[in-house]
Amino acid sequence: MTDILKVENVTLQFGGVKAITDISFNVKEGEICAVIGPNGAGKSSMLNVINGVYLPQIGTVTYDGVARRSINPRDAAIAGMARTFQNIALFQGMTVLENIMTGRNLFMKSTWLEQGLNIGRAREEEKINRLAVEKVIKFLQIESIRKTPVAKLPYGLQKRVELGRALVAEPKILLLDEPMAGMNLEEKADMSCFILEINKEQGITTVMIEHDMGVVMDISDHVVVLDYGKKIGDGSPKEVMANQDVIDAYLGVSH
Amino acid sequence: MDWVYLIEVLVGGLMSGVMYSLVAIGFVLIYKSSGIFNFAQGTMLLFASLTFVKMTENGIDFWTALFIAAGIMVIFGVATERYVIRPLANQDLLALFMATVGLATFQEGFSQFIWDSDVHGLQMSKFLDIGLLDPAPIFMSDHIPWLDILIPKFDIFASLVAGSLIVVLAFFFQKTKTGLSLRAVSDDHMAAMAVGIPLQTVWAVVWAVTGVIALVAGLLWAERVSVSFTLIEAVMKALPVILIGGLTSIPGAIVGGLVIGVGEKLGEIYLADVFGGQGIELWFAYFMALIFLVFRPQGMFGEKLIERV
Repeated sequence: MTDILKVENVTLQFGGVKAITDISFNVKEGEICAVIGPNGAGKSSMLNVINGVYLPQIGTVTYDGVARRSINPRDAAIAGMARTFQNIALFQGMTVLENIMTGRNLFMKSTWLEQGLNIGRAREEEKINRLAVEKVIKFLQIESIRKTPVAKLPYGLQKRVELGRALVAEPKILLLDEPMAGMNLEEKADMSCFILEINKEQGITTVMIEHDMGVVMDISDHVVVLDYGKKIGDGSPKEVMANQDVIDAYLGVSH
Repeated sequence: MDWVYLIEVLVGGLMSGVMYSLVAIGFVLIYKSSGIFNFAQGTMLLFASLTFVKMTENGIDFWTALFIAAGIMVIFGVATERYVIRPLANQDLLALFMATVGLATFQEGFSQFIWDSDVHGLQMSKFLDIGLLDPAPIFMSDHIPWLDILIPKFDIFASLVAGSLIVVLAFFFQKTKTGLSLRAVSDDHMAAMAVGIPLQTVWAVVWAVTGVIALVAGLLWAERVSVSFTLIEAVMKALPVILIGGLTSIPGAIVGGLVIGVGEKLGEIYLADVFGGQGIELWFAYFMALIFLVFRPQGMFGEKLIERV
């Protein structure tokens, strides 16, 4: 399988602080790649470099055959990257349905006049978009909260809605920042199922940051381990588990 | 109590309230989408209506002048986003606010530079042959037999225009992709960009729409107070409106405008004896806003900021 995403020698600094130092790794098309590491290892920063929220000082990110040092988040979305955020970034003033609908905004090509009056292309588009949204809502089993304002939902459901918004954009690659943070066991099991199904059924490449080692070892094909902004491990879950550096980073090492 | 008189006062208040709402919506749109309090709102009204009036004075007919003035306001709005707001994106909000103060100063000088600083009267009845623009007031008793109330026809005309503009805007922001994008941008810039919403285009649309609203509001106000710097002061009345309605809510701006409109008219009529004299209308709106600030600082419809700790 080809590499859909290649991160090469990326270094990201904030003032004097190096968040990421010379990191390279590849993500194969169709795999679930987990990025793990202790707090402050630079995982979220890495994701933010990939979809263009941060501009790295050095290095390139090659996505879908195009190498660039930076991309802006909108172009990333147009190129088929969809993501979720660590601290849920839903549109708090909107309902679940409206939030997920925003994920379809790149598929709305008709003019505002057509949309306002519901004529011409807008009619057909609206139908297609609503169908796509309903499919995702059904898949994520959130039919009953369709019209609920997201601000009223518990954390676990908000994470699910955010996944829905990313999914409905029909992405080539999904970037998930701690999709299971703050969830209980049952919610984690549900979320793992969703991620696996998205990957296996729809073949969407997934890069995910996750802390729960059980989940990571269970569902990912490939694990990248970061610590203090450096890459200390890269390989299959089994290889990574056996890696001494990784064990040291997680369990500590006597000096 | 004289009920007919009370109804007359209420209706009059509601109608001037709609005019406040229209100005307030301009503020709310920009604040909602970008967090900027646009100090240049007043000068936008002045610039728009002055441009219109000068064109009609030079023999251009009503609709052409309206169309050109709207076009100029759209260009101005887009240029503001491109050359004032965009270079300052991600800066401190105070810097952006100061930029709009600068914009206001520029616009004030620019209007005088290309046009003039005279006071221009505006009488729309000269251009439009609509019965409602007839200066004589209307007696509602023509239609409702048991009432005998007096309402200036222009007030009815103005609230019809303002009301329909508000309906069109509501439609635009509820039914179109641009509207959905605007609401998304106003909630969370980062998330909006991540789903592929063009932030800058949305901002440009907002500034352009605000410009057109400024034109309509400017013309309606100008008919009452003439085209001059007093227009900028009229805009100041929108401040208590948005304090009461909430800076982030369009329905709030509408209701706030109506509350202020009715409140100050009622105050003027029924509190005159208490405070000994006229002129209550001039300060009552601000007084109401103060009361709101004490008891409900986020306004009636504004979002209360809750932070996760």
